[in-house]
This record gives sequence, structure tokens and C-alpha cells, in this order.
Amino acid sequence: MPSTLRIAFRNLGRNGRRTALALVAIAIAQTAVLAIDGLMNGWVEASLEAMTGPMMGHAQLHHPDWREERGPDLVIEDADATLARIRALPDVESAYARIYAPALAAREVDGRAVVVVGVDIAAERGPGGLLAGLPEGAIPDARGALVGSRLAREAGLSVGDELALLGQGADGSFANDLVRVSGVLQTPIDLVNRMGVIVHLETARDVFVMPGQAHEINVRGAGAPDEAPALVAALRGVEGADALEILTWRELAPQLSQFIDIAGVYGLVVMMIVFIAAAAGVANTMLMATFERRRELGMLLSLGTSPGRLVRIVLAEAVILGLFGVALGTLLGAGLVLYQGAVGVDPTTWGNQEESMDVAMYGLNWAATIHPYLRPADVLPGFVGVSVVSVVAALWPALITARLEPMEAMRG
Amino acid sequence: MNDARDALVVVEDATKTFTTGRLEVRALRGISLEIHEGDFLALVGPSGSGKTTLLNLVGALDRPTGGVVRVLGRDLSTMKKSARAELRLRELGFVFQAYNLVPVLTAVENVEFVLELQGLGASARRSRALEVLAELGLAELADRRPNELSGGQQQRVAVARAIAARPKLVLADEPTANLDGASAEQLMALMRRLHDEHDVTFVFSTHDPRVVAHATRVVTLVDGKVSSDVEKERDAA
Repeated sequence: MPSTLRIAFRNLGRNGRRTALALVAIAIAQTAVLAIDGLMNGWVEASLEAMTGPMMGHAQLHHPDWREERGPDLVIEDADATLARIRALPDVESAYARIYAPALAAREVDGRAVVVVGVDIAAERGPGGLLAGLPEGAIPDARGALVGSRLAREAGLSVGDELALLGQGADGSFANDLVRVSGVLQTPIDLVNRMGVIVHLETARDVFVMPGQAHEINVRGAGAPDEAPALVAALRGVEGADALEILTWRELAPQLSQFIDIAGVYGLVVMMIVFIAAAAGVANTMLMATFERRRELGMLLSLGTSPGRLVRIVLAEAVILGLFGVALGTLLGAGLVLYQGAVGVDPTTWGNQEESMDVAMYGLNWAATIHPYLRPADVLPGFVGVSVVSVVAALWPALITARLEPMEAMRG
Repeated sequence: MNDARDALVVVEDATKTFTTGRLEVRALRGISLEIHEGDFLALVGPSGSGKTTLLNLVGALDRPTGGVVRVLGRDLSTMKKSARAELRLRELGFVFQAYNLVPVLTAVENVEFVLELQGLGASARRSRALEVLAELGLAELADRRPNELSGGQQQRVAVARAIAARPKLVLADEPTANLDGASAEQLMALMRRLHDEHDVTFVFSTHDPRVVAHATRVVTLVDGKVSSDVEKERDAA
């Protein structure tokens, strides 16, 4: 082994406390960067999931005027056939037809404005559906309804109660029916929680006179949410969809989409701040560790060690220390993120709040619990950044020392 | 002092001033001196007289504030840092008061270190290092680290390191200052043997009259100037 490496390894072993201190500083820096990275990934994914999940999907099809006017007659004709063709597309993971009908819900003498949401309950119990995870026992029968959690709380509704629904049919007729509450529902959609009365699609079609029709077809692609434009292009080619308005989730909710993007940039800024703070700690430790060795480095110069060789000796130590420290930090950080990913992190309990709470924003309920995760590529920037900071911080005093006369360095 | 022998080192009117804050310390005030091949020269004088500063200038470890220092015909003030490092590596050997061994290397690795810097192959440098250590009676201690050696043993390893590179001139700054009487005597006898048998020129600074007794030339410094330069017979065998 060349003496450069031998000296480097043995020096690290000899100065146990200094080595441990530097290792800990480097490892903490990498752990902090990965922890923030994992948290941001988890948050962005949870936000995207909330947006592109049950509420919007990756793309939606409507009657061209429906979003503007919300008229009950602005329907998708022959929705079932179009839906079947959409589901047959290779890029489509799931697609659902929905009806949204404003109505008055009356119980005894109390009346309340609601939105009757007609959904394919069997299909929407699947992943990404509005009723994902709904237990079989809670499935309403043809005359049953699920009501939003907040609506149930505020209207004092409970399972078994009867609700009279009064609204307008798509043909302009007076629509009314009596449904029985079969369950209370908490969804990621704030509107549904506040005003939703969910019934079978066919029930809604009967009540609101919409045979084979729907107000919306909600589509989730097999790819990532950002692949929605390609999905929309594929949807445009579907027979029966050509006359409809087809929009990506970003076009459907530009403010929300922008909010996610801004939050992503904000997360990057936070990560940069964490990185700079961590890097400053590493730099300080490495600087001090190298400066306090000035006399020893001067002695090596006095023996005829060239300035370049001297720098290589310090560099070898810094590289070994940096790589070990970052590897340790990566293990710790990845372990921490894995653990947090498994148990979930709830930032709303970080203050004095004892109980978790959901956060409603832009009509969406974000589950407050974030499940951080890391992609393999996330490890790299920290790995490179922290290693480079460690090496540069050690290199700087080494370069200064190498420029000194040997006696100047030995005098300290 | 003029001498017909080749001058390894020529110092002409060298000055050295250290600045500490507002304080200026004139360590050398115009020294002129020649060191010749074969000298076994003792630099003596009271503390602060400039002995170590002069050794550092001659050893290319520091640069003079004024005047000229020529080592093996080369003016140090015009040489680049890397060239001066090369000069120290190839032509000069150093023995410091505090030994200055690399603490994480064993005795033989310390000797090998300089040989590696010189570019010697692994087996050649190992055999030469062991040979020199054996010659200095350190064969048994070759695998010990400095903290496992006594002061005298460490200083002998430092001498082994200095001469293994086969320098023309060995500079020793108070080499016996940290040694007991017996170890100091042993070290001086060793340096004398190397001088006599291998034609190595030695320059050493000292306060110790028993060490001065080994010298064949004694240069006395007072207040940064040469006050006397005397050739003499060795007092002890």
C-alpha cells in the first residue's frame, strides 16, 4: 500500500475522537438531506394522489359546457358505451362514470342543500375510486345512500335515517326520491364530505332521468400523473369522446397544480437550506481538523514532501472520511425514511396539537399523514454534495499549508 | 573562514526578521559563512542567537529576509517551492530536536517514507531502510511505532531516516536536547561514525559542551551574527 493511503488510514484510526466527530458531522448532514428529501417526496406524492386520485383522476371528459354551467341536462350521451371503449385503452388503469346532481335533502322538517353523486359503487371500491376501501357490508342497496361525514355530523344523520331528495331531472322534470342512509363516508373530496349523498349510478339515472348518461367520465392512466397529456391524446381518439371536452388534471385545476409546483420549489429551497447548514457543520469540522494538523504537515514538507504530495495525503484522508461518513449517513437517512414511510409522519401534530387533523385546501382533503420515501436517485445529490463539501473543506487548509514554507507551517 | 575544500553551502550577509504583530524580531543580522564538504560543524551560542534560524535557512526550510543562501551552488531565493522540496529530498537530511517522526508509521516505514518520496521501488527501499536501521543498532525495533520507542531510539530512527536518503549534508537542530547523557553520547558517536565512514557532512546546533567536544569546527553565534569560527581537533574519540 502506498504511504499516502497508509498514512491516511492510520491517521484516521489514531485520531479517534477527531475522526468520530467528522464522521458524525458528515453522517448527520447526509441523514438530514435524505430525511427532508423523503418528506418532500411523500408530501408531493400524497398531494398528487389526493388530486389525481378519486377527485380528478388524471383526466376527465364532460359535455363541453358542463364545467361552465353545471346544468343537469349537459350530459355525456351513451356514457356506458364510451366508458367501455375508454376502459379498453391500454394506457387506462381505471375509468368511472359519475353523475353530480344538486338537490334538496329533507329529513322530517329540516332541509339541506346537497349534491347527489351517482357512482358505479362496485367499480369505485377499487384502487383510486371514490369509495376505495369501502367494506362490503357498507355497500348501499338500490335505495340506499352514503352521506358525507360532515353532512352527517351537521345534519345529525345516522345510519337508517330516511332522506327525501328533491331536484331537477335532466329533462327538466321534477325529480324526487326517498333514500335510506346506509353509511357515513369520509373521502378526500371536501365537497363530498360536506354535501355528498352517494347513490348507485343507476339510481341517480332513474331519479334524474338520465338513461345511459353521465355528467363526467373520470379516467386514471396507467402511468404517472404527469403523463396525462398523452392520456388525453389517446382519449380524443375514442369513438363518442370526440365531441366532449377532455382535460388533464392540471387543466382542470390550474391553481392547485401550480400550488404543487410552487410547493415543490419551496421544498427544494428548504432542502438547500438544510444542506447549507449541514455542509457548514461538516466544513467547520474538517477545516478545524486539518488546521490543527498544520505542524505535522509542515514536518512532512520539511522532509521533502512536495506540496502536491502533501495535498494528496490530506485529500486521501478526507475522501475516505467523506465516503464513510456519507455512506453511514445514507444508511441512517434511508433507515429513518423507511421507518417514517412505514409508520407515517403527521406534521399537524408537530406543534401543540395532540390529535392528527386533515387539511382541506382547494376543495381537497389532504390526509395529514405523510409517508416519506426515497428513490435511488435521491441519494446521489447528497452523496456527491456532502462528499465534495468534506473534501473541499479539508483541501482548503491543506492547500494553504502546502503554500507555506515548511518552518512557517511547523511554527503553527 | 576560507577553505580549499568545496563549499556545500555559502551564506552571504543573510538576514532574517520575524514579524509578530507590531513586533519585529531580527533573528539574523547579516551572517556570512561557508560550510564545506566533510565538515562536522557545531553551531553554538546562547538561546536566541540565531542557530535554529540559520539551520532552517541552510536547510531550505525558510527563506532569508536579505542576503544570499546558496546550497550546492543553487541560490535558494530564486528557487521555486517544488525545487526546494526536491533539494531537501535529494541532498539534505534533517534531525530535529523533537524527532519529528511520522507518528502513524513504524521505524522502518519512517525511513522508507523518504525513500518512497525519492521514487525508490518497494523492495529496494525496504532493504535499504532495514540495512540502515541495522547499522544504527535498531534492527530489533524496526516494526515499532515512535510512541513505542525511547527518546534516544526515536532520535536514532530520525538519524537513520536522514542518512538513508544518502544526502550530502545532514542538519541537526539540538539533536541531543531531549536525551539523557548516555543517549546523547551514543547519538554523537553514531553521527561521528557516519561522518567518518560515509563522508556525510554534519551541521548541528547545540548548547551542550559535551556535544561540542565531538565537532571539528565550531561556529559561535551571538545576537544573530557570527562571533567566532574555529577549526579544532576532536576532544573525544
